[in-house]
Amino acid sequence: MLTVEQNEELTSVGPGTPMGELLRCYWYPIAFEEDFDSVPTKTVRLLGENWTLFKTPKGGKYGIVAEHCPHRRASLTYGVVHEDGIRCGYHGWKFDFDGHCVEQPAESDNQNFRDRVQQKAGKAQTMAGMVWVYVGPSPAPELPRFDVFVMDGVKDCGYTTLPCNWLQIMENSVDPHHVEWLHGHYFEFLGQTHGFDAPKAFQKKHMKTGFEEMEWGILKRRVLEGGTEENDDWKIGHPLVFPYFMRVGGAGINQMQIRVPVDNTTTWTLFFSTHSPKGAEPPKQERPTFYEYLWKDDQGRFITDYVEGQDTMAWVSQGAIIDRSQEHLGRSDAGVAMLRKMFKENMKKVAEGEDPIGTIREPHDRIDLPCEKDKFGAEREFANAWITGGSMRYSPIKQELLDLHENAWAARESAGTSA
Amino acid sequence: MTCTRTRGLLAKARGRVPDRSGQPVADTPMSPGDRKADLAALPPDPHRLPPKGSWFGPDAERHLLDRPKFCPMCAADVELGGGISTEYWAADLRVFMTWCGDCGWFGEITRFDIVTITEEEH
Repeated sequence: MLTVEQNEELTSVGPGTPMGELLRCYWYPIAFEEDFDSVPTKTVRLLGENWTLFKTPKGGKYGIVAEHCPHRRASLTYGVVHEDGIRCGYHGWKFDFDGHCVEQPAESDNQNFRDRVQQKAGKAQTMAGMVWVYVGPSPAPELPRFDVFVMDGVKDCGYTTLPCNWLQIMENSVDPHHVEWLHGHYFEFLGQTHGFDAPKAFQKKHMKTGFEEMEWGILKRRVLEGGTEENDDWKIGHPLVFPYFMRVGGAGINQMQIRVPVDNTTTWTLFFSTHSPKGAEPPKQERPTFYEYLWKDDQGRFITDYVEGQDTMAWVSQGAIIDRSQEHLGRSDAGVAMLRKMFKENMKKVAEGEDPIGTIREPHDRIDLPCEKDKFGAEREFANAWITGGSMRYSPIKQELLDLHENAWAARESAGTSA
Repeated sequence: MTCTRTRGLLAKARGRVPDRSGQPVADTPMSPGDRKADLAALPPDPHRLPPKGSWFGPDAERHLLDRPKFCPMCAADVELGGGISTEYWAADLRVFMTWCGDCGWFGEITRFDIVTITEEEH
């Protein structure tokens, strides 16, 4: 339980708010490279502001500026893209990649005016088939090259836009007990009601959970019924990567769950997976496979017969923004309280001019995150359940993924290395 | 959204203490007089309560009253320094996971009525 004001502070992402200023210290994926195959610009919304993301025709360089031209507010998304910037289609004002106004065709005799106009601008880069942007204070930190995005393997990503605040999705990431209920017993109930076999791997009872602050966020551990602290689920665990990722994995699937705060009541969610089971020879991919997953049926009801659909039901049905002044947390929600503390702690750091947790300023090739490999002690079953009972069931390459894992399993079996 | 205006002596003198039909749930039974005095301790603006009539409004009201105001380590105002206190319940206990924005103290502060201990086997 929090006060009304604390809830507002933690969930407001716009410019000038404490949370908004903290969140502007990080890079976000905001579009796909393939979005620019046929058009050079795209309007994107991030942290409560509209932006024009553009790609230069020859060099293929990406840039991002605030969407509305500072002249008379027309959309720069309908502008002219040059190799050195973007020009408004309305009166031809031109802006470079840093937002400096470099040309005002109708004001050519008035150089001083041009120098006084500065469009808001950020930085843009590509990684793993996505366009990532930074719209915070200079100097921009390095784009963190987390393992899932740069490792070898087959890359697959389901995405959708949800009508709720991003924080309630992040709080789900430090709530391990929901797995046993939402994806375990509730799934089982649905299976019995609708006549399908729900995966059993998620039903194991949590005997112990742990939360530990670490370099990148909060490391979450659990001991499941029948397991011990020697199992990967406890010994290694997996992290919430501050402020908007969760790294999960197991059974040869490495996944980054991404929750982009579009505005206070909208979140772009992505489940980005790299499949690299031992014993498999992953086929070459030109680009990751991106696809939209469904979460509502024709009648407007939540689709709850798969894992991410169940999560979506929980997140969205909590309301556009959870009223945390009327929640009733229990001891099992200690991770949620810890996450809120981490947000407050880092808001304070930013307000005092310091870098928040997870800021990386050194160039690097890859950041390996801790993540269990033996998931719930049920590898083969788990990989199958994850692909068929998760958002990957909507993937256009679902069968290829199933074959990849099955062939890898068979190869390990024949080599005697399946354990 | 209902705003909770000043509830101090001045407000009472002016007859501006709001009528609260939804009774806050006190940790211990309280006399109406005690409760009134307790409510007078509610902090002034900008603290707001959930909309009037909210089912769990009384719990939110108790949270405003009972959450730790000062750090047990450095005695600074917990929230003024950017800190936070999240309340959770465990059996009869009300636990406040508290981070002091001033000194960085991080721990739990618990309200209880009865101290319960478990005897080790002997």
